[in-house]
Amino acid sequence: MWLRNNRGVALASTAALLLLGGISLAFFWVPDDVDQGFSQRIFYIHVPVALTAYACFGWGAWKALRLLWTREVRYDLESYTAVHMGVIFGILTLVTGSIWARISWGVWWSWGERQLVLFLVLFLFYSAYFMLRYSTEPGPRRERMSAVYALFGVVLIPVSFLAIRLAEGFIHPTVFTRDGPQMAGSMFFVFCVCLAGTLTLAGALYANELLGKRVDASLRELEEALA
Amino acid sequence: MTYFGDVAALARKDILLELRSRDTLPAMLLFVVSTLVVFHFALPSDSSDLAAGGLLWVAIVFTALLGLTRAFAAEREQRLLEGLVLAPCDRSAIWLAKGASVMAFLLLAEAVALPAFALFFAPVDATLVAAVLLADIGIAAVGTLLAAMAAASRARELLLPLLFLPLAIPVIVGGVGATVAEEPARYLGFLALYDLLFAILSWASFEYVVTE
Amino acid sequence: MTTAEKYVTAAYLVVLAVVLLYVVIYAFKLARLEREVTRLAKLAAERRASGEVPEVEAAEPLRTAN
Repeated sequence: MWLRNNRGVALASTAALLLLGGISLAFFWVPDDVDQGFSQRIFYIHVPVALTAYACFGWGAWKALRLLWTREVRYDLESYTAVHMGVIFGILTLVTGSIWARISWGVWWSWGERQLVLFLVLFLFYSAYFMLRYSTEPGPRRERMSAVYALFGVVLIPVSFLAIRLAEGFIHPTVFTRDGPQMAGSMFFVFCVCLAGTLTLAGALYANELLGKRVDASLRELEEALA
Repeated sequence: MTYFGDVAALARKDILLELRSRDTLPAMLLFVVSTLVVFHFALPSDSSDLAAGGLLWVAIVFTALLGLTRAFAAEREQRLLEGLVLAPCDRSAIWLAKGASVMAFLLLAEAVALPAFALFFAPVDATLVAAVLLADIGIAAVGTLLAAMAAASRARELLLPLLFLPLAIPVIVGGVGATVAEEPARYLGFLALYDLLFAILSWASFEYVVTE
Repeated sequence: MTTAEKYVTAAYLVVLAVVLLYVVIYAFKLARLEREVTRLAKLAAERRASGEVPEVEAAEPLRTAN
């Protein structure tokens, strides 16, 4: 009962524990990677953040589908907030990925990094989502258009990834290779802790932002009732 | 009226309107040829024909954008869209009809663009034509839906390119791949996949975008 | 610190920075919400005092319910 009413608090505390634990493990406990050495440790924040972004976009698309199915207004706020979270974590993916590219190969950007290129395309796509929302009058039509667009996004993810792979057939990027970490058990464990941490963090931020948006909406109704 | 009867009627209306006003299509034709000329000046002398092939697809996508921006202009200006939506036809018929007319304009524009490209840069082969046809389907399908979205917003002409370009990236990859790569079949297959997925998605979601 | 260590730390710090930035922006939003609530509460109290609006029971606290 307490858990349901204080979801945000529960998520935030769990996120704090998991992330602090995971990051400490990533810095102090887990052994160096055989091939890449110390710099491989970025993996423990870069990949969880990327997977969390995908999860947020998927969650947003799910809520969008629910909106189109049931036409309940609350799904619009939930979908919007989820996409917002996805974009935040997407930006984090791009930045951490860029830093990793810098350490590994000395360049800030590499078109050969498929995941990075995919996130660039998704970033452009979901930024347009916000432009769509901001330039449309609030109402059921905006809700439905945003929902349809969020669904397009989720279909775009695999299609874009395929496109990026196919594009290498004629673009010949300077493909830097980075041997995937030979995941020792300890590495996998730390990765899982960090992944759980970022997912919970996204959940906590999502719950908070959603609450704020709902309060906003209620306030507006209240204002109209009193005015 | 039957579904396809509705589609035919709506498409005929659009094409007749264009034949009478003659504003969108001539602009598209002129735009695509001008762009190709600009590309000549934009390509350094030792660029290969492959680079030109890539740029052709840029020209096609931006010409399509030009046409799409105008796609719902008439409806918007005379608030016809509300009327159409109230009509007792399946909303997706509007999408199909509008997409068909966009496709028609695109094909006409390419009927000029491809010979111009062959004249200015490099010969055009059957694979390229096939790729252009497949790409047109995807562009028309997705573009019509997005144009309807943009028409409902305040920032119309600004918004449509932003919405369209990320979704156009796979089309460009498929098109350029089919034009320049050694095994075009993969890229043609990919274009077909894109068309299938996004046409179904656009067809199914159009009514949500267009109703109040 | 080696260069690699610096960059790795920078990556983690960037994540922290973005999350903290989000918190700051959110704090501003909450402050605005609080101002709005106080203003509306005052408005409601005035209305009640002048007899326009009947006494309303204290609303349930906002739940984070799904």
